[in-house]
Amino acid sequence: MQSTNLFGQPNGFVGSDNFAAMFSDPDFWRTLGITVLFMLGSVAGKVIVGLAIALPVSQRVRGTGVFRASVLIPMAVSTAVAGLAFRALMTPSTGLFDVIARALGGDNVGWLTSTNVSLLSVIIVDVWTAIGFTVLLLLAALDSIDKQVFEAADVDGARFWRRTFSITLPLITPTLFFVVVTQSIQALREFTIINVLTAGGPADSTRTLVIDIYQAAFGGTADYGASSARSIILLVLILALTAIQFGVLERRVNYR
Amino acid sequence: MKKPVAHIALFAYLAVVALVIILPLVYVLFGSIRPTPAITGTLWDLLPTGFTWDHFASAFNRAPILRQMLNSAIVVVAQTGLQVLTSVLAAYAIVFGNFRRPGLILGAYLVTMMIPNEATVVANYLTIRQLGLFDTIVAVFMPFVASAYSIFLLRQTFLGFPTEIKEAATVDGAGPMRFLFRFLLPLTRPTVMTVTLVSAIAAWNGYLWPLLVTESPTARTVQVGVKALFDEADTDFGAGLAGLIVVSIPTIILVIVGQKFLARGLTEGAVK
Amino acid sequence: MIRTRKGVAAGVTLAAVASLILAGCSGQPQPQETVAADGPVSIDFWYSVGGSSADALMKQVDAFNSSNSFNITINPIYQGDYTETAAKLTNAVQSGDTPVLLQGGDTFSAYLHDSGLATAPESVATFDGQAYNGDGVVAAAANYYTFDSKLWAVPLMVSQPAVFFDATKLQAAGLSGENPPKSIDELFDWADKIYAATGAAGLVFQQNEWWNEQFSALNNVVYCTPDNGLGSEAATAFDFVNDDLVNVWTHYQKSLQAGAIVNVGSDGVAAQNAFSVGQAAMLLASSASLGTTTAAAAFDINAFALPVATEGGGAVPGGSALWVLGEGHSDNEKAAAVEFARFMGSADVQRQIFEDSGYLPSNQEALDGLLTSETSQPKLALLKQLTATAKTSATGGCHNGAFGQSRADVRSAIQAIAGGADVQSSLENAQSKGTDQLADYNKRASK
Repeated sequence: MQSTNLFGQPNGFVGSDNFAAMFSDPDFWRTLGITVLFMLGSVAGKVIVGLAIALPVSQRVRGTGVFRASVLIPMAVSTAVAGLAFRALMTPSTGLFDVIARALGGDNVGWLTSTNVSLLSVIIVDVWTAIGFTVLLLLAALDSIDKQVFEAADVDGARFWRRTFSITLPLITPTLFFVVVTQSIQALREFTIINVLTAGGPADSTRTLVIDIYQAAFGGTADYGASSARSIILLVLILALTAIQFGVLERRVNYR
Repeated sequence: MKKPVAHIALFAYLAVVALVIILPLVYVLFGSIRPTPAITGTLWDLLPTGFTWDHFASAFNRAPILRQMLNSAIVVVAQTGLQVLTSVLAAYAIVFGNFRRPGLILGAYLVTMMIPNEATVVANYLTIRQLGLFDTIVAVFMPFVASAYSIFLLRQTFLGFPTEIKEAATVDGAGPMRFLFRFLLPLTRPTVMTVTLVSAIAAWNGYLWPLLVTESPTARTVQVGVKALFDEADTDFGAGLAGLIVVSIPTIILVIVGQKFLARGLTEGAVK
Repeated sequence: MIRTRKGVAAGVTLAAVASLILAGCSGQPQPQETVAADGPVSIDFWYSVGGSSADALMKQVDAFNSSNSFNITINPIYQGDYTETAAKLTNAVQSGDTPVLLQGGDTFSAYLHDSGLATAPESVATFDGQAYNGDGVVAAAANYYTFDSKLWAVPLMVSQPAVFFDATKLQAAGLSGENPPKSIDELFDWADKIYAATGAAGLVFQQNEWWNEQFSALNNVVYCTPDNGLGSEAATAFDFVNDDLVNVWTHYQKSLQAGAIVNVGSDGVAAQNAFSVGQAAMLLASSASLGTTTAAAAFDINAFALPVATEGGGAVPGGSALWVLGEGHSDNEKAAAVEFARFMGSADVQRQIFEDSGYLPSNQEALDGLLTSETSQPKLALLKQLTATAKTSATGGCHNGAFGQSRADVRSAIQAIAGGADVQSSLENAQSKGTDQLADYNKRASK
């Protein structure tokens, strides 16, 4: 609630001015939008990719054990290292992703340089880093489903997809719920990946709330007032999100 | 599944998935050993097309990597050690401390759990500056010597501890400390190990906070240091990639060795 | 004739007194104060270059540390690029943790001068009583860092943009570096021609606000008024939008979409890489890129100067300078800093930096020597460009303290243009935002 001067020293109590300035700043609302988009994309990606890997691996066919191990690989590197590895992969024109894109007949995709693609790129990296966590959790849940349920379904003539959607998924909803909640909150807090890949750019297209908090305070203007106001908003968002998810989703979750 | 065709399809699918997952690390590894140019901008980058130690030499030249790894190690030991200590004691007090409203205390901790670090970094940063601890290793682990998450997990486990043993021990004249070390901890070791491991990984991976409170390359921890190295290496891609490899070695070893604990650590948190 | 002893003595005394009086009146920079160097001095030096430029810089830092006779140790700390370093400095002011030596990016100079943090090198009391003298600095480079006729920083690594190219690829399109394009628009034409003839991109450069400033300066346009902020008044408005500039960026947009110019976003490193591995025939980049691209490329690199379309226009020599941030530091530290500045600005060091990195020498003696001795074509082209640069308000570059944010706005505008946005309105938008920020900065700075 204080304003800061050229050097970041608080120079006066200004009441709710920082909040007023923040709410009337169109950039702030854009930041919120980007934050929400990132969260939705990230959680959706993690659930889909997690299931896409866990479901086949849980089939207990001989030899899938090796793949269970491969899933641990993203956990073997820190987020910073992962982010930097992808930064190399996504380097414009000379990075492998663009090389492959051109080899497939397309053009350079501005992974980190196009405002249309940048958010997707950051989401991709976020999903990659969470593969270990998500798959292990989903595997544990899938493994604990009683075999007899499937045998009964087989007898009834249920095919794979029908079986998955009508039986398997509903049976693991507690775990799915847990994944959605934790990853949503994690997405709201994610800083490292974005900082390392795009630093909020290009043209602020990946500037989420956390990045905004950081930039306001440490981006050169030392505007601690603006940064603090945004920190409060982040806090409120996370608390609200947790409350909503526990309230609404809980009802749809089937406990055995 | 009984059909062999389906088997093959499954394997092929999983093999592709595994390759895709491993792609970034393989790319970095091959790039770090390929003689300049480390990245050729062609599909050859997918294969190891040569060998040189040059980039590793360059990486060590550009950044004090070993010193930074030492810093990170110090942070891990201090942060994890203190966290486990405070969490065990706090959980013990909550469960066995005969408070009238233990739920209230736990509730207070849970509330702090819901406050993300990211919302408090600015305030903590200013505090550190005022304390004159800027650019020190102490500043890196200081805010994390207590963890509500660990307290919560341990409290759950302690709750499940059989009361008969506790009573028997009290009858035998065992004081709280003795009970803690001789009975409680040994029997709840798996959870304590998990808490330690999770805490250690978090300490090693810390990025935002060390980024804010350290500045000189010799005071930095390895995550921030490797990012700075990557930036500074600029067009010398090889050095950046080599740095990534060096910095990942401890965590790779950790994951290989601690697989089971890690897997359990995740599921324990979920089930509770 | 004074032959007696007394006479000789009197004569000598007279001469001595006369020379003392004459010395006192010779108008040398004063004060010629001395500071006693008591014991070893260790000072922090924040720098912002990476890759082989950093290698070149560190080589000189090491040389200074091992050869200086005042027991001074320079402690170099990499702080990220110029923007990040500027941000960190602002933060460091909070707790008095500022370094005494800073490699400041060119556009940061107005802020450093206005903030009161910096001390002009010639005002610092030195260890040996010899005040710093900026006479040996190349005029075009000194221009940038001279406020109220005093040199406030020692140009450390001077750069001017140039066009680097692969002669073979140019040949395939019937073009030659002997006959360079006469304007930026024509340069883009060349890119189109090369693409049409070979199917490979003709040009690559990153989307950076620096180019906006350079393109303007080449046309002798004063980027901000009045007088680019170099006169007695601080800059109050940006004024770069005009038909020529709009045409140039529109052409850029077309060529980019066609594939004649490679789109690397704002990533300068990627631009250099794309050129080094052969994905583009020409690279528009700072002279400093010569070092890194030569190291990475498998072909011979040539260069030609940026086309000056209008009389009085030219490429703005930018780069970085060594600032002595005296505020809050002891006399010892300041004296040590000036020793280092002197060393870095010397002919020998500047010549080596040029050889190692492609950054142009800021020392006139070194420049003169290199003009006659240099044999490598691209290096000679760069040296000649620096020598030929007209000294006007336009080539002095815009000086203002709000550059951080206003530059970011221009960068966003260029990125938007690359994405297909309307050129005229994007530029005008950035211009008016920048003008607002200037007003804001001037208000804050006067508090």
